[in-house]
Amino acid sequence: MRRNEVWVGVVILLSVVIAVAGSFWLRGYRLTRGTTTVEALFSGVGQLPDGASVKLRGVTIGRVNGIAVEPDGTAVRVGLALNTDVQLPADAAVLIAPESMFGDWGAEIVSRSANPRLDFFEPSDPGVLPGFSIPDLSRLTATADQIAENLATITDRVEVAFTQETAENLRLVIENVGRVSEQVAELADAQIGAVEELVENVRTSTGEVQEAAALATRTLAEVERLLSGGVVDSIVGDTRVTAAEFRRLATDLRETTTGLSTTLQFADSTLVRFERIGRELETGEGTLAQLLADSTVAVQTQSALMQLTLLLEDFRENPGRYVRLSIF
Amino acid sequence: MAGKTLDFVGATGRAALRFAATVGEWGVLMQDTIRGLRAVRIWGKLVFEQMMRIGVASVPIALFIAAFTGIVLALQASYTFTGAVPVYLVGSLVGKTMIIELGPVLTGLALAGRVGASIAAELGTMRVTEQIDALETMAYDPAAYLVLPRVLAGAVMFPAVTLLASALGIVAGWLTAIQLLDMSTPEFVRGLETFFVPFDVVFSVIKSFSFGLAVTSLGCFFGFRTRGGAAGVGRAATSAVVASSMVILVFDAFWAAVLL
Repeated sequence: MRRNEVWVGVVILLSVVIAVAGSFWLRGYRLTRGTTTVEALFSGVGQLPDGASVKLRGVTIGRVNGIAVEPDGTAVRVGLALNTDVQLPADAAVLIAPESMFGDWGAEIVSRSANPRLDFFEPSDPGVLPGFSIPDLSRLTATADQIAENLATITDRVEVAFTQETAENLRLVIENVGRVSEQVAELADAQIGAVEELVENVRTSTGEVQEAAALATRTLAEVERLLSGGVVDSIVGDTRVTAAEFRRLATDLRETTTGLSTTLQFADSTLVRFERIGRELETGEGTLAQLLADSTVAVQTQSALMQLTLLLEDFRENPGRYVRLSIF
Repeated sequence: MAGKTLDFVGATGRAALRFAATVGEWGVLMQDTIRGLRAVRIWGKLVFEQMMRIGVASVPIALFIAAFTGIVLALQASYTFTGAVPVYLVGSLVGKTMIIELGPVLTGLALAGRVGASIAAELGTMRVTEQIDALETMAYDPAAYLVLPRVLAGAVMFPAVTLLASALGIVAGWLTAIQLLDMSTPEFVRGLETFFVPFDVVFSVIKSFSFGLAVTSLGCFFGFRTRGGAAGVGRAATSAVVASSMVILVFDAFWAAVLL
């Protein structure tokens, strides 16, 4: 029985010692080294657990020993159990950050002047260190993930809007704009030449107009002079007389033409009669035909008729040879 | 068809009632056991003997299981943690897993087979040979005399054995890491420290305490209700091991859900 009690006691005590000593050891407590507690204030501590390591220049010099929100709720007070044989920087501050991507957080004593960009919490008590907590890596990755999602959305929309057809249209638009630009340039060049020519023409026309104006001025002066000298009145009077003469001449010509027409009608009727007589003569009818039975008379008569016909035709064609008109 | 359905429903009902009756009988036995706490003179001198049999005698098998569990954990962790995962997490995995899960559960299951079956067989034999009846005849409280020392011994020794087993498992994992893997002791220790919190040890003690209570009380319960001679003793031992193992796993999930 006595031996049993000893063995049971050994097992129980050994297990308790292992559990307690192991826990203290894994939490970083060392019996051989003294510690002093330093406090720091943070606006937030992220996922820093109680007992996390505290490092100085990468060397573990202590452990987090207590995390509590301030009574007014504006800050978090963190106790740091540090080894007494470590000298902290004069402007020491505490930086809380993830030590890896696997959720283990730690605190590090840093020099505040070496980290001017960090917005350390300002404690009112000078004995308390200022602290700053670097945003959680998961928060940063979540933000990056959100940005990536937005970029993906934009890319999808661009992909939907910018199809092959759109690209082809854009290419055509660019080509068209190029062609239009070339044409505008050519048109501008051509217009510049035309404008230059137009300006030259205008210049020439202006000179001519000036000359015409001068001539017109002179002409008007001459006209004014003539008007003032009565020459025009004389010309107008002569013109009137000439017009009256022309009117009389026209009347005479109209009358002559009427008489000529009557003569021509008479000549026609005569010729008709001569033709009738000729047909009677050819047929041997009538007195004249019998008289002309003699061939001599007939030949002479026929000759006379031929000459008469020629005369009439010449008269038709050249009436002026036979009719003399005189105006003055 | 309707008859078969009724038979199935009836069988289910009978099983439920039988289970409820069994739980009730276990409750009555525990009530008697708690009542027997007053009889310190009866159980006080028996506790250390039971601690020796239940706890100290179980240390070798518990340490053996834990040592090889730690070795396998370290090897499998190094096999799994490749690429971007830092190697020091091998220490984290070995420590965390041994302390809060594999140490208590594997020790509990091992002791359920060893201790639970032993208690059920011992008490079952006493039942079928009417030794328990004789104790009652002599005005001895069987609960205080037989059950309470074993339950107390299990409640105390299970956590102790579990802590030793967990520690040895971590040591085995550490030795494996520095001997078989390309790791250093500081790396392994860093992994151990990184995710360790003292509550892990408390959690392990609470779990193993409940496992000790379950294994010993169920061993006593199935031994006390043994019927039918030697065959009944065998059935009692089997039932005790099966029920203890199931209760251990149920408690494991329960404590994880409640305490973590």
